[in-house]
Amino acid sequence: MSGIFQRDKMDIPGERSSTLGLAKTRLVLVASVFVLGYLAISLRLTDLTLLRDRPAPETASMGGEGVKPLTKPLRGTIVDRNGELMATSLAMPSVFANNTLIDDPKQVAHELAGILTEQKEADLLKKLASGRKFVWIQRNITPRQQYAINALGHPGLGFQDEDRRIYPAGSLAAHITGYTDVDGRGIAGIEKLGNAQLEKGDKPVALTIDLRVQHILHRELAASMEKFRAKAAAGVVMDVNTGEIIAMVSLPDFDPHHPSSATDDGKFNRVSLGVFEMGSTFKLFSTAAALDSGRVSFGSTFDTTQPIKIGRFTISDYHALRRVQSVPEIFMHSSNIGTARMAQTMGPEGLKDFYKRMGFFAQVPVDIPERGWPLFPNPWREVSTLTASFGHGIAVSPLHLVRAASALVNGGVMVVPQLVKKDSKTLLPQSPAGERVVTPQTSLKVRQLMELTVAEGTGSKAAVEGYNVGGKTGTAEKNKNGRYDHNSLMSSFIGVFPIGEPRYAVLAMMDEPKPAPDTFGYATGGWTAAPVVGRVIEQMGPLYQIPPSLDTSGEIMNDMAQYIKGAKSASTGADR
Amino acid sequence: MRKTAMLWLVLAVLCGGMLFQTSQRVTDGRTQLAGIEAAARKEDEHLRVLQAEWSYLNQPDRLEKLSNQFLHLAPLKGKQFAKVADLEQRPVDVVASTNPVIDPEASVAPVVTAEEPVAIAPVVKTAPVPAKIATPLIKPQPVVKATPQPSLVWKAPPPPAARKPGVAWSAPQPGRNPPPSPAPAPAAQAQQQQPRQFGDLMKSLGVQ
Repeated sequence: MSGIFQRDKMDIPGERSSTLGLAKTRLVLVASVFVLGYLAISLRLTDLTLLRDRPAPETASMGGEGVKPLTKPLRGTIVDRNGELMATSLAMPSVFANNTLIDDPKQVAHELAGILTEQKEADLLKKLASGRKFVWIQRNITPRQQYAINALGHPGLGFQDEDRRIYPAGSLAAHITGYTDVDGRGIAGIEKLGNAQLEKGDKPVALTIDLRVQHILHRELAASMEKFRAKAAAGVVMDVNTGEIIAMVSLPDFDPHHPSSATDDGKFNRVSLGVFEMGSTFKLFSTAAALDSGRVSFGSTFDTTQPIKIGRFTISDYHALRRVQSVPEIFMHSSNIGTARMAQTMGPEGLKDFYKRMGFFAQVPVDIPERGWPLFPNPWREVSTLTASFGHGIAVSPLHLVRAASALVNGGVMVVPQLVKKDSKTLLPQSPAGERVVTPQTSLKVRQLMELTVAEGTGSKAAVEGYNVGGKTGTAEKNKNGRYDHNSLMSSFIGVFPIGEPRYAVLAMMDEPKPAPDTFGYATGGWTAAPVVGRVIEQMGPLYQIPPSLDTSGEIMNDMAQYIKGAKSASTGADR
Repeated sequence: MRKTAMLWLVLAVLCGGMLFQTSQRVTDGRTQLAGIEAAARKEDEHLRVLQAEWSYLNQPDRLEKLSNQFLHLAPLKGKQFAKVADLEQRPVDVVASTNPVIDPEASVAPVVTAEEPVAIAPVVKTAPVPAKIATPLIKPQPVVKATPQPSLVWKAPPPPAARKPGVAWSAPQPGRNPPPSPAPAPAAQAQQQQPRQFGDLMKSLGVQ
């Protein structure tokens, strides 16, 4: 290098020498750039190889050769109103084997059998000895198992993470959460309707369900279903003022982890998708319609001595009294004849228009895709008015019924059933809520009638010490092949509490209950469904810190005694 | 001319060097970021596993079984609530010395709220009390007696240290655990039984 610079000094003046000098300078420059470059590289090399004192970058992570990170975020969670987890997604590892890298299949199979206790050693050996380059050993193993297998240190075993949907509460709320297909797309329930939000994975979807109440309702319904050997059962708890669904149970149910092995019967949502002829619980609505029309008051009386014959129908009473009855008597004894006569006073269109306002001719707007279409007579004839007044010839879902009953007792304002909490993003566009369907006065009268039914009428099994419950029983004969079958009943009870200032409506329904030893041959709503509602309210009241009303039971008789023949005096009414 | 060329050359080399440095730093940063993101995702996955396990262990029917097995508690019933006016009267000094159940606050404050129809917890009777007996106080009803704190019926029971001797804590369930079995032991019975130590409970749950 120094030679170059020495020659540079012997510059010869003149044009030729200057050209030569220029060329030399350029050479020097270019050479120096290269020299500097190589110098930098060798310095850096020295630095990296000799001087740097930092550990080699991690090239191997715990999973070994097979780990492929998830590219999309894990599916979002579903939580209940208190933040309890109802559905979540876990990245669960699955273990596979590359048999070309396994020297001693017998040894490996033996070691694996100690970890994967679900599988037999012989099966594992068969997989490991197959000679294939890729074979699944087991899908969705636990983190503990993964750790143990990784610790074995066999190069032929690898893991791949897979997104797996987990429902910690199992089948408890299976009809609400719904389930996903193998690719993790929601295909039922909230999983389906909330799919877009869940796939983004950031914020949990919070429901209005309270898992505690859901459990209470589930337990009581299941116990009664077993006791009465019913084919199926359904129940709902709804906040009558907001329309929030606190609990919703349909039995039989299914395990949402394995929807493909569930029966169609188990997956069928009886609360929102199934439509049934509800029977006498509809007297709530026909009576409310009659009272609201102003043509009928508590003092009005109707002759219930003779069954009504119209066309090929005969309308008769189940709890027949065969006398002239007032409106409260008709309601508390659930007289079909009386209710039909009451409906007649409104004219042919009166009841139909009222039912339409109650939402009985359309789907219930609720945040799950399982929504049933009601069945109703079309065209609507006179006989339709008569039968529909006590819940026959018209079939709606239990959710229809609870929603309409909530509107009747909450002061008369229609509610929109909510499954997704309002402060989280609602999934459905909100239909206009708050439409007034009956006057506050009618609402009060309906509450009085319901309280009377529990205090003195067919719903007495729903009475709860400490809480004033109001309700209405329903017992419908099921229509089998065009005929009503006396032995196949659809028994139900809708209860509301506290009836003075209603907060929650509770519906219980049993499909084909059989009489139990302690029900004296009855399988009606008052004997099968009413006790369920009573027990749910008994447990739910303290849970929600609803102050009990201690001395007021029986007061209802003070108000209503004048309308009821042979009514006990208020004082004896109070000690029941 | 040569000087300008030299200057530009030096500048270009400098810029190149700086550009190289910057791009190196960006690459380093990206690698670091990817590492952190992967770690965060891993943590998130671990969290989810733990949350799922927690929820699984807190399934209402499991808690119900455990509660029936280990706690001598029964679900609160509507009839166990009492009105303030139904509570017996008792001079305050007696209350202070012999009845450790009463919360000092509770024995004073409710005088104002005596007309409230329902007391959620041990409170005090005031109703028709002559003004002079300024502190004619209150014995909680037997049923209510067991409740450890006024009004916080559904909160977890206090730790052993916080409890006063001889007080059975009963009616409320720990946490948000729903009321168990249809045929629970009455609260009165719960009182007679020896209250379990909280630590024992935890231990037995842990074993389970």
